[in-house]
Amino acid sequence: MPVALERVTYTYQAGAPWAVTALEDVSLTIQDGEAVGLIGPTGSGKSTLVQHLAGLLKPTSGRVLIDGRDLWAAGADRRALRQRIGLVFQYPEHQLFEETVRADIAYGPRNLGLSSQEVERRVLRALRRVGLDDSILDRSPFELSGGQMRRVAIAGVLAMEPRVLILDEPTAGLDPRGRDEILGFVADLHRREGLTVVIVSHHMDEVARLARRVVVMDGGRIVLDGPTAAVYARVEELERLHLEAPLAARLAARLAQRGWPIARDLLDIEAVADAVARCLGSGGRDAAVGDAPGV
Amino acid sequence: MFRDLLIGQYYAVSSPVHRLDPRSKILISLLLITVLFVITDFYGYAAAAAAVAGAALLGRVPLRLLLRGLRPVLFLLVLTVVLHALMSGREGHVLAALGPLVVTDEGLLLGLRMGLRLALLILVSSLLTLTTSPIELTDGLERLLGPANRIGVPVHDLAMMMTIALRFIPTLMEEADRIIKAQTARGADFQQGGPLQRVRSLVPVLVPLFVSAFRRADDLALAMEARGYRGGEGRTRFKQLRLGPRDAAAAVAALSAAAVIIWLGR
Repeated sequence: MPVALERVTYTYQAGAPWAVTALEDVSLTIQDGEAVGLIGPTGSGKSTLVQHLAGLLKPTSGRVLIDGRDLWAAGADRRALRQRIGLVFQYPEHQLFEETVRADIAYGPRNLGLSSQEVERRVLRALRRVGLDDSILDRSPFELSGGQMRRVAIAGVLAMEPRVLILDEPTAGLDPRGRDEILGFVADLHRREGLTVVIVSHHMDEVARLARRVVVMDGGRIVLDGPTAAVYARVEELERLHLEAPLAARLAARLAQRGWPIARDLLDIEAVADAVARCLGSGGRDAAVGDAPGV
Repeated sequence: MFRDLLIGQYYAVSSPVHRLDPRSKILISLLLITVLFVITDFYGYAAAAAAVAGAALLGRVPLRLLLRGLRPVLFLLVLTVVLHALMSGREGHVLAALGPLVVTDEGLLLGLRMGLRLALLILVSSLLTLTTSPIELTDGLERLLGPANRIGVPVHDLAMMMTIALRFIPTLMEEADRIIKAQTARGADFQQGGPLQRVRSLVPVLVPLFVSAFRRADDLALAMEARGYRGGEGRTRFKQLRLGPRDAAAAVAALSAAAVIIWLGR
């Protein structure tokens, strides 16, 4: 079920003197089973973009296509189309409201008018998918730890059983452990269940762990879009946007700049270490530099 | 939903009206609003409208923007006109009658008058907040109400509460917007069902909104105390309010406008 934006422009408070164009002529297609990272500086339009993908904002101009159908066409069943896309907002735990974890996760499925057995089945499944166990079902979501609250909130979205899961800064404000837990089960959802995942972040290492494709935004436009390694290799362009590529990518790029025969598209530190070791092994640094073109 | 609500919005440009002392602007607005309730003739309302338009031009506030502030209260305005037209008895010529409902020319005129009064009142207050930042506004109010301190009214605390409330309106609106969207993404429907069901459908929005408002209040209180805030006692100001020649000119202009409006509108 591909999701696509077609020449979407969006202006906040159109007509008012303080109108702001948040998206400008953006086209983007996300195919089934992809894992896409969306990065860009604050205010570049990432959140506005994902709200369009989820059918929550109506483009000022352009179209949003879900499975080829125009979401905002007259007569489109928006509720049914939206249901296929699950959007997890920033700090999703701020949207918890029920008395128990069970009731909160059940809110979405119940809105779909499902039978109580089906609702219960989905609640349990969602809870397991985010790596929590049944023992917290009857506790108040407000007495959980921050990381648990966030996972319960994500379970609330997963209980809608969407085909596409969009996460807006899912690890903001969490400690490294909480971050690993969230990224861990999101990776599982993608790899084991084939869920399409879009992850918004300005933490590029995080995106590198999950996404095979990266889209970079700046000033309401898409400025780079391609395989993760290829995008991360463009260190200079990323730095111009004040985005810091992962340490491994920067190191590889710097070594390549100095003439070492190292591929620029290495993402993890192990691969860079291997490449460096190979250079040194084949006669040490001098030999390696000597072999490099242009030195 | 709240997008068109202008009262409380500040239109940040630089103009002679923006630079006036907030106290003059508050007093002039009060004067104009009082005048609105004195006059009865339509020439008076026309003159008052002209005065508001003039002030808006001087304040570099686009008239379209100002008029848009009426949109959220349009229903209230229409209701005012209709109710007055229907409820003001049988004086004057009957224009139309349907059973016990009678519309007379007098009633209709009364309704229009009330409608115009309300509309102008809203325009005047919108213009005040459009040309005066919330901080200036509360500063001005605090100074104007200063004498009430002597009879035990906690003026500073009230002004501080108002500043904080105004400061957090946009924040809370943004928060409400995000929560509404998040629950919509989970299949919530705020439009359907009877009144009771619609009120119930707001629970998933209101609970998180209150929780976050309290969290913010806690944080803010802590931050203020950490910076040594102990209420108004002995507090000095970075920005001193001072009346100048500009305010004198504004006062003269306002008083003459009021005189003309009353003369035309009696």
